[in-house]
Amino acid sequence: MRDEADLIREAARGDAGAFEELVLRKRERVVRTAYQITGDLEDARDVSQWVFIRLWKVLGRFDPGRRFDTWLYRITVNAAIDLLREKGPRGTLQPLPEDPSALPADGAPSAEHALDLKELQRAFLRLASRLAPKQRAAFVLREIEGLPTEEVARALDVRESTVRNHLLQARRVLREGLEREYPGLVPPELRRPRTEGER
Amino acid sequence: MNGHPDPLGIDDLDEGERREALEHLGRCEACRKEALAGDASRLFALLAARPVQLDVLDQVSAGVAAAIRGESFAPRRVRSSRFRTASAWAAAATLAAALLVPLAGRLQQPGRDRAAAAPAAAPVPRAGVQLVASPGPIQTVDLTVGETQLVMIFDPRLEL
Repeated sequence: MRDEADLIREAARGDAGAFEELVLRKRERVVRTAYQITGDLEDARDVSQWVFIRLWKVLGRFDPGRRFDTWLYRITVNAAIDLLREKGPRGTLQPLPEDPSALPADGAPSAEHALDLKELQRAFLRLASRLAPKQRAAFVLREIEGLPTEEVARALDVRESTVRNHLLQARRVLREGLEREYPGLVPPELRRPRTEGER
Repeated sequence: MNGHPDPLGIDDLDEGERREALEHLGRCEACRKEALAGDASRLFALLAARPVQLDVLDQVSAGVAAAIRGESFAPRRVRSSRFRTASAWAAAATLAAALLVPLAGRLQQPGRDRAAAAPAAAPVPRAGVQLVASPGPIQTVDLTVGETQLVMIFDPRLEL
């Protein structure tokens, strides 16, 4: 397998084969990020295609001293947020379709288990649609993609304190929405007591 | 990963370990309940960690490949429509292939219209795809096969 830095360098020189391999490596996280922000798989696919085509055009300007993934996330998040703003608020968001290859390696999940996950996913997609685009983007990059706060700040072009604030708000909206609107999903004995500041 | 990961410690794991921990959360109901009680966002991470369907990823790759190998791809000036351009190129390529394959097939079956064909003086059919030079971002592709003339005009500025 070719080194990523080599792939980027060759793609930046116009090597379409190297670029297509780069797309192959990065496409899942780009589609996933776009999906989590737009909440629509079709939109996520369109955004992802646009992101990679844009990347092909601007790759020559990439500074090798910086993290490539952060740069890619930045392009993806900006494109997804732009689309989200253009299309306006959504109605019901659709969970990702079941992928047979996504089943646990130790056997198929029970019907109850599958139902729980599906229901939880619908609940979270619905609650996440209430977050402001930047809040959602910060949450996706930090909690789902696992980026450190400073990388999230670079990707969103905001200060770290702003990212922390977005995360705090996003977690609060999700937690409260889950407890209020989907109480059946959280067993009473496991519900987290609210702190003084959250009341 | 052996045992149950600490849901609150997921942030401290590297990418691979984090993925394993999230996959474990998908399988283990006890851990899921604990994650749900501790911080709902952990569960969101679990749900989102599910892989995207391979055919969707392949569509992305195919659209990108079609666009970058077309070379004449130009970003649209209308911001709201830029996302559809890549899909439009992929659709144009598919349309061209769908039209050309049956036409080419007909040309390779001379016996099919034997009664109507002139035995000696039949013109040699022309077949192929020709990119006609066009000014600006508009691309004109000549898909003429034999007596069937088809010209495809692609204007990236048009709404689909």
